[in-house]
Amino acid sequence: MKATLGKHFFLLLLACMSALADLGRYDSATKHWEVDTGVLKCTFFQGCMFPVWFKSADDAEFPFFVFADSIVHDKMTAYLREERWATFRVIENNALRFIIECQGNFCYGKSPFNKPDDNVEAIYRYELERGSGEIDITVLLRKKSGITYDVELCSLRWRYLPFERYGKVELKTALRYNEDLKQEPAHLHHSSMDLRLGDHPVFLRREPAENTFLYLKDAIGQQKWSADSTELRFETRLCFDKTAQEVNK
Amino acid sequence: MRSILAFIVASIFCIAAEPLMRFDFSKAENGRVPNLGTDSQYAAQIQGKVETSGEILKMDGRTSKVIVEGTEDFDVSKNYTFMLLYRREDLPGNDDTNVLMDSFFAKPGVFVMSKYKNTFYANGKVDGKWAVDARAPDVFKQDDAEWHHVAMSLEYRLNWNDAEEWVEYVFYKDGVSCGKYQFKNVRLDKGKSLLEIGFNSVMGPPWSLGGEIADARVYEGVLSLAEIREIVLAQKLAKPAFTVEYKLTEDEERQLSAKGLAPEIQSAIRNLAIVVTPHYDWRAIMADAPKALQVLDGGESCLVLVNVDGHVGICSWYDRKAKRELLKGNNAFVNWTLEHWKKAGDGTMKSSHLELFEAIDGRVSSRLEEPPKRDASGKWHFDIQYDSDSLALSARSSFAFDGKRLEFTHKAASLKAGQTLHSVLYPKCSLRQLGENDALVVPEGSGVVYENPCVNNVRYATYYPRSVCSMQFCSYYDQAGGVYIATQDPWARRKEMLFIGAPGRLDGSIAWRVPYDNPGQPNEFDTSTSAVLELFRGDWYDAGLIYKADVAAMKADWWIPKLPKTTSRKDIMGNCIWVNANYSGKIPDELFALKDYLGQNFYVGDVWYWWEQGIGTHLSPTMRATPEWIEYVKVLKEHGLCTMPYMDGRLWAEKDRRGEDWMYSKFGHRMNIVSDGKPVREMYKNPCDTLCPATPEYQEHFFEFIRTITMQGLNGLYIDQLGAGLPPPCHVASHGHRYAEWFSSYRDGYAKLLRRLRDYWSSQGKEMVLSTEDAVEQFCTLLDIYQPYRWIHENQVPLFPLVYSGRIQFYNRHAMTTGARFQTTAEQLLNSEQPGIFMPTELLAPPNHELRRYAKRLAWTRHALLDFFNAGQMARQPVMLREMPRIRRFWDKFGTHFVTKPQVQCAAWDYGETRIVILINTEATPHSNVVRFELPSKQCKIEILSCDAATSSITIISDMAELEFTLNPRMLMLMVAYPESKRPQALMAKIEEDFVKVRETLSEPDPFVKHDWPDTEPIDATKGANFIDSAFIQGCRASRELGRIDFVSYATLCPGTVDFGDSPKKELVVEVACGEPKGGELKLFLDGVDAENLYGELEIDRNFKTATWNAFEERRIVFRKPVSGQHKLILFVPGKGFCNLRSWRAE
Repeated sequence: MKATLGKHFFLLLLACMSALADLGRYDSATKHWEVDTGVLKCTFFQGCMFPVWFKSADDAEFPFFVFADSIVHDKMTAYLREERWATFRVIENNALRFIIECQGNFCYGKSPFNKPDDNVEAIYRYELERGSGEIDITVLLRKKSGITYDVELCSLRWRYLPFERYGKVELKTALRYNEDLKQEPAHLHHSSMDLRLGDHPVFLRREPAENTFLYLKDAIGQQKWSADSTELRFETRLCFDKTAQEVNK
Repeated sequence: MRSILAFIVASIFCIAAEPLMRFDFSKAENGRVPNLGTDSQYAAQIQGKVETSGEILKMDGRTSKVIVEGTEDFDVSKNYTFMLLYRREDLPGNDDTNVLMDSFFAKPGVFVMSKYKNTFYANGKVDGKWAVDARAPDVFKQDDAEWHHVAMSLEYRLNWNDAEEWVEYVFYKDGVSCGKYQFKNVRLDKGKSLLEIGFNSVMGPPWSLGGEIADARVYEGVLSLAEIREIVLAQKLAKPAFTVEYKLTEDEERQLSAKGLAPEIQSAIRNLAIVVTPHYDWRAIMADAPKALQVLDGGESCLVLVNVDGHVGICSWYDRKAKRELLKGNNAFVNWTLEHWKKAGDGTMKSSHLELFEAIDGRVSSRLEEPPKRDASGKWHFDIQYDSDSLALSARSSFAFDGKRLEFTHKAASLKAGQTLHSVLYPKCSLRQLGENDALVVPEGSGVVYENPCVNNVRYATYYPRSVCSMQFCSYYDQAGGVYIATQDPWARRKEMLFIGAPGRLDGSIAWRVPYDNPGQPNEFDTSTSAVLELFRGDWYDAGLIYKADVAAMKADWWIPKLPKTTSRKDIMGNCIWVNANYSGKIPDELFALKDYLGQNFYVGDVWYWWEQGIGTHLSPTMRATPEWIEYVKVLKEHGLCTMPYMDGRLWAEKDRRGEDWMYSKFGHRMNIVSDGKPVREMYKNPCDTLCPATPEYQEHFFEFIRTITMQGLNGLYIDQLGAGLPPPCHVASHGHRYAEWFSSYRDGYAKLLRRLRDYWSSQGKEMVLSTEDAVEQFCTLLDIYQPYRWIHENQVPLFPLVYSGRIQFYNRHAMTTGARFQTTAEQLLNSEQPGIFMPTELLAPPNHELRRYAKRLAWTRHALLDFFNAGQMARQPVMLREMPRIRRFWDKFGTHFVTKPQVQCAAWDYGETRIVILINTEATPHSNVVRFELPSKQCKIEILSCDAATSSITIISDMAELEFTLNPRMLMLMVAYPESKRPQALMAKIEEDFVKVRETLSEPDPFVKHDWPDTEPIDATKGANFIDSAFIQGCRASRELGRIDFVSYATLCPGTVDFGDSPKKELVVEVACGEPKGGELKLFLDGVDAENLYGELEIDRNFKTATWNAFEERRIVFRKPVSGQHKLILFVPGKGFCNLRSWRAE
């Protein structure tokens, strides 16, 4: 988090003075965690490895996307978004901050019957802060046996639907990676269907198997996770720009 | 020996059907025995060492055999009855036979029916393994050298219901049933071996029959006990193990008439003559009838009680109005089956059964506690106490009779350790065959009328409550009246309904399996409910009204006393059409376009597969929604469209989460029902456990699962199989219920769960729509809508809607052709059902202009008549006075597959004092007729609203209206009748307003019609092309990789301009593949898709199948007239997923 000590202090003071509610609220009916930073709202969906349904403070919806992170071994691709049974561990939940860890696996196919890749354990940690539209993501992948994977990480898959529904959107995503992967701090910005990643053009294509999704490929692309590396860490920041809500209205 | 112990009276007045095979060995010539049965292709060859003596064939038990030629394709996966006359003999030197194994019939390697030691034994192979092993112990004696008649019926009870497919063996020896065995979800292999008699060439000499055989027969279908007994009585070798019905001689009839006794007394004596039991000497009774017989006069009919030497029973029910006896002489109103337990070698408790019949069974004494009494209303009351010291049985029936209705309760108890009451038939009755136009109405689907059930040997054998037995009554009647038979069980406990017609009689019974605390521990039978037999006049409609009154009186928790129902969401009560959709993540523009065209919000069907796209995964309670799917549902909701996803509430897939044993054996398996020692497992794409819903695990898991998913913005949930599949009795003590507990399915199971969910949603301020497959009565309160897509039966009548319309909604009927779709949709509207589910492509296809308008017409007509359907009452159906075409069409592969409906379907409904008659012409030709219907009062005004004519009115002073009408193709008409002085202004205003929309369908532009068919470079018709290269493709997938059109869903294909040349072409050759036989049709149009553009049609037979979905065969569409020159070619493929297409060319 880039928040300064002064900002923390200010928020703490604010929390004490006004007895602000915790950022995260567990909905026992749906078993989701609903998070509201005051700037950004999102949902940690039961069993899902990543947050969804991003909204601004006044409930203007950001376009719907899911993480398309995947690992590939022996020409078989396992997707993070096919994990329906991730477990949640709330690390911190108070008026200032909400930190949650989602733990699960990359899964082959779309069925709950289909197998996960048990060789790789994924822990995605999300940190949200009051008054911020940013989500800091820390990812830890642990490998049990020495297999080389092609990994595609921090890949966001945009639903066809929202682009039709919302037209032009303003969404900024900042990506930062550690040394295990290609270091290329990037700033993703798209203000129309003409998508760009920093100064680089972005792939824009339909997935053949799911022609209803537009696929936004980031700068990382497919990387090798070598057999002798047992852990892979990276950090990412998703930045939801306030200007988006203006456009969405 | 049970066959000896059984002392049962039989009916002989029946004629069995002709056998398929019958071999009389006296006709043998050169070792060849001709088949005297119906199929001459079968003939028997006698081989080995044999001797013949008249009809008897002596076999050596080693080499002799009888092989039936031509039976390679004799298919034991169908229903048959096998029978053989046989006498065992220990032949000198035949050591092998000492083990007493005798093969009766065998299709080696596939099927055996034999004796194994003293056991009656049958087995069959399923998927190459011996899997259907049935053994009735202690049937044969080792030193028995008498002739015996052995028979076995092989019956597949296939109800097109994943949960209810089984094969049943019933063994008979000398005309007495000695074992019944069911095996679920199996069908015997066909095999190519020849049928063998008295020998089994695979098992070898130890199984060869040592002794004599005669009269070997095989019947197609399942013969009734009465028919088998007729055959047993007709032969002279084996001694029947039952006593024979007696018919008075002419002299005895004269003596009886000379007595001058009342008709009911005479009838009672004739009945007693049939009952040849030691305690009823009919001649003695005739000599002094007043001493033994008591008439309980009820006016319209009377009962006659016989009371002789400790044996009391009802021996006659005489219908005075119709002047006829209703009961057969051997009638018994109750039957008990006792179960005797003993510890087996492995320590488990094994049991055997003994069957007893009340009143006519000599081992049970009976007495009146006190003389029958008549109360102030004229109703008779009497109790009969039954006791048997030798059998340690005590029982009591308490009767009430008012001249029409015989209502009684029954309690029974086993009195000794090691014995339980296994089952009780309550009520049971044997009725005399009524007049020539007799009919049996059963609650199968919506209700089915079986005409002439006795001469047609109708057999209705099934379990209540489930789709094929949705209510707990049947009724047998003719024009003079009939008998309604019902139980009044407000807890919908599992019962077996068995109604069997045979010439001269109709036997009906409702069997209850009795719970017990521990094996061998004496138990009691007390249902705390009444059984009813009621004499009535009328037909199925009148029987339905009696039942409706009974359900209201029995205070069943599913009965809603007052309409309209207030516990269902308004949007589901008022929904008027269903459209299907498949989740693809894409914006369902077609649904929104249809919504605009129809002018109504609607429910969207088939959403259950949306949340899991993998095959079979929808069965797993471990599945979870995805955020994408929830988002998608939200979009539909924003457009006013409602959805219900799928789950299965009855099965738990063995295939666990991701293949791990995550919840199956560790958790789900504990809920598995074990019935009679066998875990109940079913195949539903994957192996599944059938769950016991009374277990705490089930209650908690399914509550959490349903609660969580529904609270994510859904309109409700479709919980599959609650109405379709009935859980069998569960014998797992650790589940917390008694063995064979009869409350565990509904009261302590599903109802408990659903009630808890309803309470939860209510506490959260939510209203959810719940639905299930098929229609059964017990969920009418707890669910909102049923899906009776299997209502596909010839002679089906709207019995279920008559009783339950307004209390539950209905949707989803199938139709395999467009013509059938017009029929099923009309029937839906007339039954108060919600039309559909239509495929979007079905309504959007350019050629389906007529269906599109028709669907909208019917949707708005339903909208106009919601008060009648939701708060009214179905009236007696109108009658057409003139002949009308009846059209038989293929609806789907359920029930009878085909249904015949009149060209104009009609129904009448009441709301307040207003009666509405609805007439719908489902065909493409106009029809004129005269409709006759009852009027709500003697002076009525009738307003007639037609789609294509101005409203007119007429005043009629009569109880009955007879109105001439003409209905143009696919048009409908409403006749609204009300007392002349009481025009229902608000109701009429609503009808008139909605009928504007109905009429607009004739004049408004059709947004989906297409005129601009693509103009392309002319294609040489003789060379043709591949359909994937068509210039216009809609309603299917053009699979370029496979070079074919697949995923057909009302596909429209236009290759473009086709040059047929100067010489006229006569047909279009198309390549078609059908991986699974379903059936459908292809329609060929030229230059447009109006009726005049239709140039050819081809029906794809419902049995047509190719090796794979990619193995194409040519089919030819013959042009109605030869075609030459250039035309736009358009192929329309109405139907869903029944074929793939490849190339076309003209010849």
